[in-house]
Amino acid sequence: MARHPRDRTLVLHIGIHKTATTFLQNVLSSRRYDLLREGVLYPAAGTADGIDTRTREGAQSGHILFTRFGPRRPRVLADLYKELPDSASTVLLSSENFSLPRPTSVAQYLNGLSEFGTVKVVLVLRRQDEWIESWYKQTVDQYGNFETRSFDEFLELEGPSLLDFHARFTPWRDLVGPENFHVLSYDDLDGASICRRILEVAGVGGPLLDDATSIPVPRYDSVRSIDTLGLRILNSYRLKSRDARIAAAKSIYSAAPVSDIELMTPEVRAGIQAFCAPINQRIEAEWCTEPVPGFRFGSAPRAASASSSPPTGPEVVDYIDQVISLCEEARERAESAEGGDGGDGGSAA
Amino acid sequence: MSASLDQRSRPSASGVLAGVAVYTMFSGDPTQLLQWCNFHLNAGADRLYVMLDRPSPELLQLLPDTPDIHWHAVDQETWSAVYPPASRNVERKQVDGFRQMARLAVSHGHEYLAFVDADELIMLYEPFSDIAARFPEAPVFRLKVREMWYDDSTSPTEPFAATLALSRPTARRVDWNRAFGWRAQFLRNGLLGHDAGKSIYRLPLAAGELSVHTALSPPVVAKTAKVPSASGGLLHYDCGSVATWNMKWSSRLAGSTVATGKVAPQRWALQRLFSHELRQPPEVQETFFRDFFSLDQEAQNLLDAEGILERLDVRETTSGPLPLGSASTRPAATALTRLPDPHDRVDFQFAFVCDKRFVKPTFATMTSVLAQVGDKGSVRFVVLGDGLDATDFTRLRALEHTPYDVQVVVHDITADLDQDVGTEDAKRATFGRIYLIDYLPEQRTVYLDGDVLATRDFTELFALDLGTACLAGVSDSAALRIVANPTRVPIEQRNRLVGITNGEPLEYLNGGVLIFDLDNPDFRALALQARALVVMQGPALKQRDQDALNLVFSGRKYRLESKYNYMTQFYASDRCLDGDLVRLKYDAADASLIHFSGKTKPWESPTDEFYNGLYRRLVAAAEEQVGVSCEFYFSKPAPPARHHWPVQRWVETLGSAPRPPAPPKPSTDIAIVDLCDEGAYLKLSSKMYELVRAGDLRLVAYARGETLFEVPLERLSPQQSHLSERVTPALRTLPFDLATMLADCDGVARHVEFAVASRVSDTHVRFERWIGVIDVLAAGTVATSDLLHEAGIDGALEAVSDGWLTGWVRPHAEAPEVAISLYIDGELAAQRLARPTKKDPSEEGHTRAFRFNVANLIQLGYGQGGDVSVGVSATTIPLRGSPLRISDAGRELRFDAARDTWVQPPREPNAGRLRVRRGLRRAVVRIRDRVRPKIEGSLPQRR
Repeated sequence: MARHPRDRTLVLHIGIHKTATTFLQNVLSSRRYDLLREGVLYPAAGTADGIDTRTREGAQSGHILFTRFGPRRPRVLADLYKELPDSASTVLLSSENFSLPRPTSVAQYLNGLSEFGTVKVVLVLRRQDEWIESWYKQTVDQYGNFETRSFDEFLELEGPSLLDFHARFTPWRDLVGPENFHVLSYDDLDGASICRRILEVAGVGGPLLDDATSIPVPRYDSVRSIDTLGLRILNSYRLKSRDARIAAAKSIYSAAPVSDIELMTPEVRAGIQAFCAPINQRIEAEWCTEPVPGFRFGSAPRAASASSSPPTGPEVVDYIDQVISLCEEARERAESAEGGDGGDGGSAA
Repeated sequence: MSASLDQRSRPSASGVLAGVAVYTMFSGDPTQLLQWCNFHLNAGADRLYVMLDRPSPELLQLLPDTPDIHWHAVDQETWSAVYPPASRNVERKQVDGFRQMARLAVSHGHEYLAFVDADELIMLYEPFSDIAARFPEAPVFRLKVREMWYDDSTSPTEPFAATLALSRPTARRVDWNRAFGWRAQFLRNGLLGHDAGKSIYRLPLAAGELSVHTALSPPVVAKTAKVPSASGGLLHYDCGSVATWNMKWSSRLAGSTVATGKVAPQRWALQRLFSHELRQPPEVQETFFRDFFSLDQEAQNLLDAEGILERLDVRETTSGPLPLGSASTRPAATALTRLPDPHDRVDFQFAFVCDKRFVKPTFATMTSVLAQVGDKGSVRFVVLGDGLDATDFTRLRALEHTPYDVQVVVHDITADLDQDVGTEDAKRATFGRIYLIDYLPEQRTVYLDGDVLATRDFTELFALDLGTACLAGVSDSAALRIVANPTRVPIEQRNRLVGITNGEPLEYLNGGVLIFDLDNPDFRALALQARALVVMQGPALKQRDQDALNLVFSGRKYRLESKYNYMTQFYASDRCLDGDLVRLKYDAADASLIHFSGKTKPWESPTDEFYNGLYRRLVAAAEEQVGVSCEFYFSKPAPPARHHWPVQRWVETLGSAPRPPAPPKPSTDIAIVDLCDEGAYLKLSSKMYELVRAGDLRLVAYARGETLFEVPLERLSPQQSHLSERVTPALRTLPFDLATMLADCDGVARHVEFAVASRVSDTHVRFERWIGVIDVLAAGTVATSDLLHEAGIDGALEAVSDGWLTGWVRPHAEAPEVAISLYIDGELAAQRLARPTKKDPSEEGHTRAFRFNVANLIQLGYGQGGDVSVGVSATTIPLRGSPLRISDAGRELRFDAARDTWVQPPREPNAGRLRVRRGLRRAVVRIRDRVRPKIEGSLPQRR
């Protein structure tokens, strides 16, 4: 049955990063046809599988192209409407990049999507001490800005604009209205439960709700703390070639000691918790429909359970030596590749 | 008291307010309320409407039940039911309450209603009916305000005991400085409070016009009658009594009442002044009150000579008919509140003033001071900033994270400087010294310019016996030169310094290093005088703040040795080549405080000049000792010892700038965007929507003072995202059948007011939050364009062409823009602001044009073969030419206003060919624009 756009609902899962988004997106991609049978379109439009340059397998950022405002946006929107079958009453878009702090207004994300009569937003939050550490690791791994800062420095400079989730996401809530703004706590739910809640918001019922995450999906493991040490050194080389960088990064993962380091001192963690506690209390009171004890630092950090003795000094020195060697090799390879490609610059010709 | 002032004193007339009802909103001293009521009842007011803001049970018991007064108590629960938590704007509540009471007054048959505050009395010298008769067309009567002051012989124990009425001068410039002394800096156009006056409104008047001071729309303002002073005016007892003053300002400073309208800078300054006084013991507060709010004989004579002062004693008219009781039994104001002092005393307090350019140097000065005195005791730095941002605040506060016991307090004085100094002066921040008296915790303070560095411990300045002096500093270099060799000083400068110091030029202190002895009881009054001098007579002072301090503290100054302000520019110049200055130069060279006073600053100039090198060495040593970096070109980077940071340091760092950008505050919590036969379109903030969901709120419509209909707001639809771009974000629909609602008035209602209110209950008196008024509200077949003229609007559709629907509208007022709504099949599809059209400006006046892309909307799925209708938003009346059938929206049609029908326009000869040619030309231009850059890029450059 043909539907008027304003009779349809748009569900935006906006992240945040490091809250099982990749797992969810992999599940939802795999369930695309099951979802369509339920009247929910999880579109192919707006995804960027073809340009993935991540260092680890299984990575994706969902409908990342909808979070960009370049000249390709009209095309992406057109692709979505072309893909939209009459039978679909709901469109589900997921990208954690919707939640990136940007100078632009959040309303701009809905430009071109505003024909949907109802827009619902699902936001998954995570206690900030764990989240910022995880986000830092990803930032170092993603190579975008050649991130070389230590965790402390990163926290000092970026923390103030990242950790106040209430201030960051109030504009989203105002944009869609309180009844259409759904907040979940990563610390109180596992990936399957988050997926279930998102599907419930999208209007999915029946067996798919319980069954959605039973499908095998690619694993996308997180970076370890020790890896950030090597990756920061790699980033300082500022390799232009992404391929060379990815190859070097994979070698650096392999070279890392088995045991891991702590990025955060107890004072840092306590400082984050003291700063964020009133913010989270407010979020729980105003935004959440059920208690979220984990989000209010009510449980021990997940990483703590996996702690082991840190690498010894010689292990770290060996690791850094190896990393430097790998980086030097990568640079030489990249330079020689550039020279070979350049053609007209060589004197031997 | 001059004889002429007594002769011109007039008693208050009785019965003059016959025919007038008076409204106020009250919170405060019960005596004030009872006296306010008595005055107006004695003046013959028909009825008083008093909205009691969160009254105590004791007050409610005191208030007599009388038909002359309508008491309307509103408790906190009721406020919270209709205003979101962050809304503390008292003016908004006052106006909403006034509009509610105005409806009531209409239903009670009153023709005139005044809006005054509870510290204002309407004083007329002739019956209002006579005044009204002279202005038969006037919808509003504006009363000029007169500020009440105390005669210094009157006891300020009653709220309306002040007896001197001061008018705003009309033409002549009054020497306020002479009359009021240092208090003059807080006056605005000669008055202490507002100078906008208050109004008596003729009812019924569109509720949207009813406001705090006067009507809002230009046509009504144009017809407003200004009541001549000879006929009376408004007496403003801003002073009140000691008790009401204490209560009012304590409440404001505590933040329980907040005026969010435009508050004059003088008012802020007054608030800062009072915040200091309210921290004093009750007897000191009372003394201050008497000093501040009383006019001595000289002031009275001066103002009397200007013809702007009158003696008016209303006390006899405030004692009854409502019983006040005897002094022992009357409801007493609570004891004077004493605000807590937010500051603890520290061992050493320093003050600075800086703008953005001087943040780093000021930080360097603070660092050098801390390096020298930080281990001697607790330190507080008070910094007044001009145009600083959050990053600057963070930088200055970085010293708090050093091992020393130091507190950094930064205040923003940008608005004060904008007001008092202007924006032209590049060095205006130095004038900030005069505002230090507003901000400094009360203890001896050393002020330092941002180009001063400490070379050794100088804490002896905090123990120095200043005798009777309360300001200390070093003689200015110009003064030294005058004494050493007067002929080498320009005559103008010489005369200025000699004049300021009464012939003792060495008494002229340089402002770079000063001791402000706030422990001296006289300091505060003198500092306020200096502040007044700059605010009132700044342009007349060459070195404004420095001159002002030297003038005002004359005879109360103490001269420090030159080693406490060694001015490098002076001693390094050729002026010190002879005589005593050479000796002084070398005697003081081993200075404790070096003032790098040259025009070229050492942090800007990497030259080898001696004092530049000295500055670098001193700063580097201080950085090393304190463990910070001033971030100069020669500074070492600060060691990032974050892993040693304690928890609190992290908390402060994470709470510092840059924070996420604050979301723009919605201009209103709730507003009517449009109405149609199917209901209303409302814009609600998230907070207001939550309030609606939490309580049983209703949209209430009134006409002729009576309820027209009520609709529960629980019926609100979800947010209409699809209208967020084409109409407005946060839009919701409230469905109801308007035709049914208007059935009792044959489908048309006029001057319909809308309010949000809770359901009537037994436990709470209802408060109605006013949200809008509609001139003409019509529904169904009655809603035709014939009603447009009733709403003072004209407008029509013009044509439909290429899918675009165009039209024009002429609103009743010269509004810059007017909103037009497009409905398709009865559903709001778009809203546009109609803008002024250029065509025929002479006749069309304020005609506005608009257009809608109807074809696009139909393509989006709007309409199932019905009609397209256009109207001015929130009128429910269609423009002429509406409705248009959807099937016609794709055709080429023109609306023939004369025949009131849509017609096909005559086909232009060759129209088709012209259209093709235009299309081709556009295509060629497009292709050319796209291809040309590529072609040009690949072609060899022409030589």
